[in-house]
Amino acid sequence: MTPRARVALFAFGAAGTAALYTAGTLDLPGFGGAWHPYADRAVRQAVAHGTPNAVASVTFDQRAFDTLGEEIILLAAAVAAVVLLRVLRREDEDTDGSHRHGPADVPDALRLVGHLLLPLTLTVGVYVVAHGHQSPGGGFQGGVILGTAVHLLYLAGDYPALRRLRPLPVFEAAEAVAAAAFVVLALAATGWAATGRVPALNGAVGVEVGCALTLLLGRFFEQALLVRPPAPPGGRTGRTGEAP
Amino acid sequence: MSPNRPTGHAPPPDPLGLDALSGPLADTFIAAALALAALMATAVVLTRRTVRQAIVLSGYGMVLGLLFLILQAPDVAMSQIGVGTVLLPLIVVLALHATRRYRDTATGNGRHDDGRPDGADTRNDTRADTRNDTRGGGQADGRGAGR
Repeated sequence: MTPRARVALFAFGAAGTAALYTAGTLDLPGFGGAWHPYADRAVRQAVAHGTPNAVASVTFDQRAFDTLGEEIILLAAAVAAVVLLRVLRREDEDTDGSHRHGPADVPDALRLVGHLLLPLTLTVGVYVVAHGHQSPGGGFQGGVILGTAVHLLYLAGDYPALRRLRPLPVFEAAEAVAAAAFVVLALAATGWAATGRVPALNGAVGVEVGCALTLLLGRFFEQALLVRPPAPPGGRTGRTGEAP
Repeated sequence: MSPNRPTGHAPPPDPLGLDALSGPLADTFIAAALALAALMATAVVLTRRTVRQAIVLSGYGMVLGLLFLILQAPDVAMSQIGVGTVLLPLIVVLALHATRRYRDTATGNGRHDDGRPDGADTRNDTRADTRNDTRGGGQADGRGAGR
């Protein structure tokens, strides 16, 4: 494709997107106005079903199929990252002994803060997942907190501990199981109000999101820290005197 | 049908949150948050070095989270702060580091092959950064990603 054709294609797509977007926003209620047609209906439905958190009612009840689609998208993204960032055969993965990842010489204050914040952040993540049906938050938010919290160990300079904390195969399995559990939970009672299932759905989403993000970041960490490109014939590689 | 605890949602004529979102104070907050978001977005675009850009991007994510919070969407704000402030910049930094290492080892003139421990990655990043600047002049920083 020539650059000219590429620009033309982009201009076509951008113009179409702009037109559709403008058309879509023309009929929206004004910003900050008193008229909220969708919110009124959504809140009324949530109250009618007895769901305390109207947002949870929207995501798991009134827009359950959207949420299902988003879950699948996240699963697909994590699987794609795992597949794309796998260690190729022609790449060498450095063995642990060939170079040292830590504990790196980070300042003591950073190390201390990292180790102190880790349990706190994990607790906050679990809390956000567990109370998602009653307060702001839920599976996705809590899952994001959980998935990023473990990487405080990396900030604290202790990459080996991080590797021990998250065995990637276990997280792969857990993510698949959680995604399947969510699909089953969401489809099992189609047409019924999700009120009673919201905590379980939140839990499944939390596990899935947390595992997906940990996997994603884990693969990126492997690429950034461990994988070496294939050695040039002359042989200046990272392994000096290593005979595995 | 309705639970016996107060749900906090009044009937439709006066939904909760209208009062909190109107008035000069709320307008000031919203305007300030919007201005801050525009400012940070411009800062992200104007930052030329990619590693630094990732950090500014993290600040932009935080400001966006603040905006969502002020607009009374705490759920969205939590997602935004988690993804936009931590996850996305971290992935960008890791990807940059990987491409830089690849380039350094592939061309053979890298300083941190030869089994040098690369535990302190932030230092490596800054060092690679300055080296790029002295060597490459005005070339775009992330060009190694394309190779």
